[in-house]
Amino acid sequence: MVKSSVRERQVFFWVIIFPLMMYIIFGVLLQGEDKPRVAVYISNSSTAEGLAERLRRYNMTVEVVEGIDDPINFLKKQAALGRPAVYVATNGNVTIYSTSVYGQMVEGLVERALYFQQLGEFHNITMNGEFRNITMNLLYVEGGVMHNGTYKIDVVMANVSAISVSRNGTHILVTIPRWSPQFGGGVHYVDLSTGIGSVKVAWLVRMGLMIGFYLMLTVAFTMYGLHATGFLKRLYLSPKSKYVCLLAVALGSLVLSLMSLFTIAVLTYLVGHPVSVFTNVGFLVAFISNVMFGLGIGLLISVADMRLRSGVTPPVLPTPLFLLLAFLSGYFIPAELLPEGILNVVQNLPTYVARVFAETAVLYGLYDWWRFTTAFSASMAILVGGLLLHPVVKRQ
Amino acid sequence: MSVVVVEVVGVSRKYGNVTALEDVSFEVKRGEMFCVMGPNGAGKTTLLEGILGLRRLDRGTVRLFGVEVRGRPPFDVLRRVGYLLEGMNLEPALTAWENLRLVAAVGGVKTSDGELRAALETVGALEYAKRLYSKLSAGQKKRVLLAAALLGRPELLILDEPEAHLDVASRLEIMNLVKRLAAGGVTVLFSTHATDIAVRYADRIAMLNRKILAVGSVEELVAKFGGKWKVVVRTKRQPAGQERDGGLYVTYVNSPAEVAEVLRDVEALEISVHPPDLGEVFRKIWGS
Repeated sequence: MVKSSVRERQVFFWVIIFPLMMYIIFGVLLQGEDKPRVAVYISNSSTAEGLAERLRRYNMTVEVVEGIDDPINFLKKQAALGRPAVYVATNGNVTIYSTSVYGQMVEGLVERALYFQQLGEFHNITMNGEFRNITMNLLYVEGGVMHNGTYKIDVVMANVSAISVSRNGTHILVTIPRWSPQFGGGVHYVDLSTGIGSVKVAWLVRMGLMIGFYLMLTVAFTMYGLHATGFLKRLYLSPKSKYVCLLAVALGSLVLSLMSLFTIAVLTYLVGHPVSVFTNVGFLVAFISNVMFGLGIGLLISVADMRLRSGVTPPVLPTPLFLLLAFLSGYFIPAELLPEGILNVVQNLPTYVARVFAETAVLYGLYDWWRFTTAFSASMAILVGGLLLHPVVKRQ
Repeated sequence: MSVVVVEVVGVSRKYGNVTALEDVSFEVKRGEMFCVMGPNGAGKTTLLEGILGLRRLDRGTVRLFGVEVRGRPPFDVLRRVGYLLEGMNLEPALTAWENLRLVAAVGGVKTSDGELRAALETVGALEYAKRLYSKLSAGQKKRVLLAAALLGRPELLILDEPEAHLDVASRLEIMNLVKRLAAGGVTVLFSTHATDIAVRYADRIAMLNRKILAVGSVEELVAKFGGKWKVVVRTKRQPAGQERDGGLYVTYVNSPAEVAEVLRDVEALEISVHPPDLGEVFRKIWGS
């Protein structure tokens, strides 16, 4: 199926060209994000200049200022003047206040800068070059005393999204990483080191998840293709079980999805962005959830098509249904823009939950496993239902 | 081992209020080339696919190789059957060779490269084995489909209008090929709506129009429904009781066996014997 699909121009378009087009279009739309026009204020301290120097490497306008008593009010005033800003308070812990969607990016860069600052001071630190999911042993100074401990970064996000900040007019996005060496625990780090911003990261996550979700199209169309070539009759007469045949179809579609994903990952790497989005555990399990959901829906569409129309022409339902669900699940627009009544309903969609789960996992290192498990189970139930109900061939 | 390969007894099927098959019964014997002939909508596809379990049958019994089958035949039976059914095609973006591999895998048939090559060689398709299926002509595609049906060396071939959608030359090529397979010992159950194909290639014909109207060899059908064989003789003098047709003399007999009797006292310079006008026979049967 994969070989056959690769040779088909239409499949080649949908699997390779279409995602690339989306990538390029949205890449162009978001291209300014790599050089953020945001003012960053850093409170004066022993670490301030080092931080400022590092942030300036990312074309940020950075100013070291004397300590500001009321950072939130300060930033509100800046926002009122149309100047989104980030304030980094460095009084022992580091606290970041932001009225800009770049707040998360600054936070990532600050973490990185602080880390290298520590690294520069203590050359005997042994690192494997990775920040993610490891425990780092390092020496650090606190209160004039050198400690030998385990290093932990914990990111706590305000429970509001950038779009709701923009919409409700407060223009306050508060990102509060608690920067304090602690013993025990792992490292939660958002790797924004090459300047990739949260919006673009979110877009990559969404596109990756949509590719998995897109299975509903490929499965339904594949089943039609198998019908059109009489292959369903061969499957029916095959000694292999119905489930093996259907899963083989599903596997073929999954491989196509992975090809799409791989293409995007390669392009992401080639243009200099980290591909770590695609290796994040949260993203991967969300991808699997979407694959199962898309596959189940694809099979159910195929069942309905065979029962209602004998599956004689390509099913028309997949594309509009895919677009509708992707739209409602916040893949194309921020879901917060939806009316509250609709939002209350759609936020239970497995695709919605998968997106939110993956985004928060990739951007903030937060994993709401309980909610995700519910959605994952629903996706699995839909897939099982599709497998059980599908007759492979409609016996007329 | 059963001499009867396919046995259909009292099979009926309705689609809503429309009767597709009514009390259809016939047998196909080993090594026979058996044709189910009927116009479009006569129930040929329903019958052939019903035998394979692809369509539900309301009543009746089907036995393949002596085994009664309901729904999908057991694999022990199925692996002895090759089939080419209505709407059956292959993956256009795969080569003929790759398609055969796929069909073998789906059908659970273990085949070596040698067996694949043999199947393609049998149908004369080896030369375009590596070409994409979509690039083949209709006749070439049909050959590859036949090769697919031959995987696993089936004892029975069920072919639903194998010559359909082909030009005159190609349909004869395909049917000659099927005939050669039958001569090699394969039992063939095929359907057609083309009288010339049925007459030329079938050992026996079942005339179907929702129900079986007649079953038999061409000779038997002719004998039963009154067609005559035409004997055309060129001779020095006109035999008694014979019509003159241009410069030749013509007589009609019930069967080829009677030709010798007719010519016993005739000094013939040239003789030709023509089968009955089967179209006339079939028109009578349909009319009945």
